[in-house]
Amino acid sequence: MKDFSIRLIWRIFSGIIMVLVVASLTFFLVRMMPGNPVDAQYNQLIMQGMTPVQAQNQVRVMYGFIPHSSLASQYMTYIANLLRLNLGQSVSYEGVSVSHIILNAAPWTLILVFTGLVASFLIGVLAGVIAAIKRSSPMGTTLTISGSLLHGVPQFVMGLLLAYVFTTLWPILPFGAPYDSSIAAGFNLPFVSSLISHAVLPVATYALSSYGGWLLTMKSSVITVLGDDFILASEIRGLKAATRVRYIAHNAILPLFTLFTLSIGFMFGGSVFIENIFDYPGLGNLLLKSIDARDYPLMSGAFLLITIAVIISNIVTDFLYSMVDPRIRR
Amino acid sequence: MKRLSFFMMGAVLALSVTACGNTSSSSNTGTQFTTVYYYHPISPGAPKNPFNATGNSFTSFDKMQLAWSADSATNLNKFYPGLAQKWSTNANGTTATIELQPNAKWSNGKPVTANDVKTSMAVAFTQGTAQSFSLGSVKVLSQKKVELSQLPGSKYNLFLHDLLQQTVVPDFQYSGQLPKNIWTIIQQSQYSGTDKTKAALATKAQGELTALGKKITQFAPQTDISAGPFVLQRLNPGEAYLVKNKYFYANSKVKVDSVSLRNYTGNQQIWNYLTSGQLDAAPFTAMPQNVLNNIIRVKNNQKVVSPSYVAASLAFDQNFYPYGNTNVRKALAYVIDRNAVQKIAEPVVGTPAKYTDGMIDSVAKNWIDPSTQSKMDPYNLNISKATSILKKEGFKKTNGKWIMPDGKPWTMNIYAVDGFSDWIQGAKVISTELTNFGIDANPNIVSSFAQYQADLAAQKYAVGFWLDSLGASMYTAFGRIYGLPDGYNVVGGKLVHYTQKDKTQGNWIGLPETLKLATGETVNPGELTNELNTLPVSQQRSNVQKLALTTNEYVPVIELWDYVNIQFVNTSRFTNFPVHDMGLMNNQPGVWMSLGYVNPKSSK
Repeated sequence: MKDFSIRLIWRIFSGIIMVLVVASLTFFLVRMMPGNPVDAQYNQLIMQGMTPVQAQNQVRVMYGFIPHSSLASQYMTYIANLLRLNLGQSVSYEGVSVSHIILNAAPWTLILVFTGLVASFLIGVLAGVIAAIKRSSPMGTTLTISGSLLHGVPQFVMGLLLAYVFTTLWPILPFGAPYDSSIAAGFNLPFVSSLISHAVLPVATYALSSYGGWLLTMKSSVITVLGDDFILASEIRGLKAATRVRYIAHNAILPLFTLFTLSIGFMFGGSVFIENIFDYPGLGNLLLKSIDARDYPLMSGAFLLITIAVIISNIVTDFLYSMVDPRIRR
Repeated sequence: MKRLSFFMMGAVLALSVTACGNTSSSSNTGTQFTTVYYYHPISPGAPKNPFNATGNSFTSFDKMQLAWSADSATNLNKFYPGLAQKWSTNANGTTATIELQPNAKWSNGKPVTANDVKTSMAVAFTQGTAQSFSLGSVKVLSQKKVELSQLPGSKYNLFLHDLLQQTVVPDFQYSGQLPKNIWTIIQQSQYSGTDKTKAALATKAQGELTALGKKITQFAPQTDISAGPFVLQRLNPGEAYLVKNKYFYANSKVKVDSVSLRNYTGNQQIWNYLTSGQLDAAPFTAMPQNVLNNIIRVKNNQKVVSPSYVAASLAFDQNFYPYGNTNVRKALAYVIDRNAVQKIAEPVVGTPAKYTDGMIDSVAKNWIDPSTQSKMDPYNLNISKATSILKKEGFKKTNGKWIMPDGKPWTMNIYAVDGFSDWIQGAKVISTELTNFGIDANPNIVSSFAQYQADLAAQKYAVGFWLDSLGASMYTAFGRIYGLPDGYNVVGGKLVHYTQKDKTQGNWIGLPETLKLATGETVNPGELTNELNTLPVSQQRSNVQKLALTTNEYVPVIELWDYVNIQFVNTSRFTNFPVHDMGLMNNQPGVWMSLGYVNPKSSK
């Protein structure tokens, strides 16, 4: 128990250091990008028909949201604020705090990616076991082909295809908002069904494009386990098929478990293509908008959230893995 | 395993049924009007404040102006009434009197008063907008009448035009955000004389206004108080839902019960909404021919064409050899087949530019006299003329390739921006045409518009795409060439010219400050353009003629195509769209509705 506590404290400490390093790197990287928020806004105002003088005067207000001290001093302020969990104010969403914007977008990414991830993982793992056990049958072959095909289709192609079929060719599913705004949000049937109907396409895109990977990995893992001595022994001892499948699944799922927990960490990165295609308001979409507007604080905040999520999931994976696989603890 | 499969099948089925059962929930309940909000993203958490760039306040629906511009190229002061019922100016246009709609009320039932206008103008000073149209003072004449004057000595010719487009907010909501001595601060900030004490006070006051501007921008009212036809009820990150404002002054004219405003993140979203028949009206968006065909095929979708004040052009940084030579730019203008370029690059919303003159053709016909027109070169496709010009300038053709006078082969990178599909296609066509002519040209794509602008300003591109002729105002249109891009800027009220040697000031065109025209006259295009800011419209013609001739003769850009504004309406659920009033059509649907347009089909 003492060892566990020391390991945990050490991992958390190294995680914090890693977060600070990544935060520092992203702070400078985003500011090295060409263009700046004022130029981006200025041109937008000109396009809206303002005269250059009007546009200049108007961006003066936005200019008030951009720090003007030296980069080093801005960096020190940024890190000091970060230690107080203050991510600063957005430039493009004038005066709105970065954490507020990110916290508004994060749940939609969670809904999209987490649901898609869990669905694709469950279906992929199940299909992978079947494809491995029945690998010589037409069913196994069909499953493997479906996995290979879907694995080869990039997410954005899948998204565009589903969008075309279900919103244009056969327009039965909505897109462009997380739910119908004419319905009051709350735990009621119209709202929940609106929420689900709007999530179907993005979730299905994620699930379909991830399913193949899980299936193929699980199939390969199961085939490896099938050749192990303990499976042969269990067959010779006449154990029931269900028990044998449980043995196989328990051992074969270990590599997938690591991938799954890491994927949970990466899910905060959103699924940029999917969110963009369906205009789903998650972190991926937010990140694109912030890059477009050169909104440095928002970009830094979004990158930081992704970093923290990956680091936490790494730590959690490490500890959970040692519980799932006792050999790790030795 | 069987149980799991059964459960999953059931879940998928339930999901599908639920989903399909609600497919068109957002479209529609008969009198719910669905469109796309084009100006800014819909963002939960952003304040319900029209002065915030992304605030949840929507022009023409719950964000009201004094009046709505008809966007007329010949009469910039043509407006449709908004909160102002009537307006007039004195003889020289320096003072305007506004009479508010007698029945105008806020959505909480309180009347809209002249005091609201005064407070809104004070807020406009904190945002920098009032300074841009030289507003000097505001005098409340009665509860519904207000007089606004320009700064003493100022004669800004777009005073009324800009003034009428100001947003009006309630005094009872915003006055608390301003200090009691706000008008003293404003007056102090306007001092531009030589008295050091007053100048110091002015600088201090300007700083105070900037700080107030930031405070106002951040201000987040608890509720949406609207004087418009609608009031915001709720929103999510993709959609805003507004319901009819029962206190709106023209309530009986508004036949729509609620409005759903969809978020806009890119053209693709609008195309998809249109092809799935979800929008009752859609703003202008560029699109390829096949997308247009798909949209038109949708039952009751209608295309509406109205004027657009913008042209696409190929611009040159004259700091790069050999583009500093006017004859080289002219030769290139003869080589580029603008008809072919437009047909491929912008077939749906473009017409080939007839002249390179800094204006779109539909506007030029109102401004350019026949005698000036006759002096202009249309630069029709003429390869032999281009060849002869280049040979005269010392260029040689060897093995089908042009060699520049400095002995180097002539190569050209044409820059366009990723996502600007028309520019990219245009760059490809022009590259092909130039390559066939013997110049080794290639399209080059820059990842974002922000980077493109920064690189242009830093003089990194010799040849690239540009939008010129922007807006109905001639000052704005010519400012796209002879403004910041050519090194001209207004600093402290005075025109300053920065040469290309100073790479920090954004001069990437690099024309000489004065140019001699074929007529023998010497002109300064930056000064001529700047004068358009103050000259009355009736006196602008002479400047416009000279600027058009300068542009045609010195070819700082080659105008390729004029854009055309194409909007869509769908008559499945609503009729009576203002499709025959182009000025009105170019406004947001809230303006149409407040003027009695857009009727639900059932109530016909």
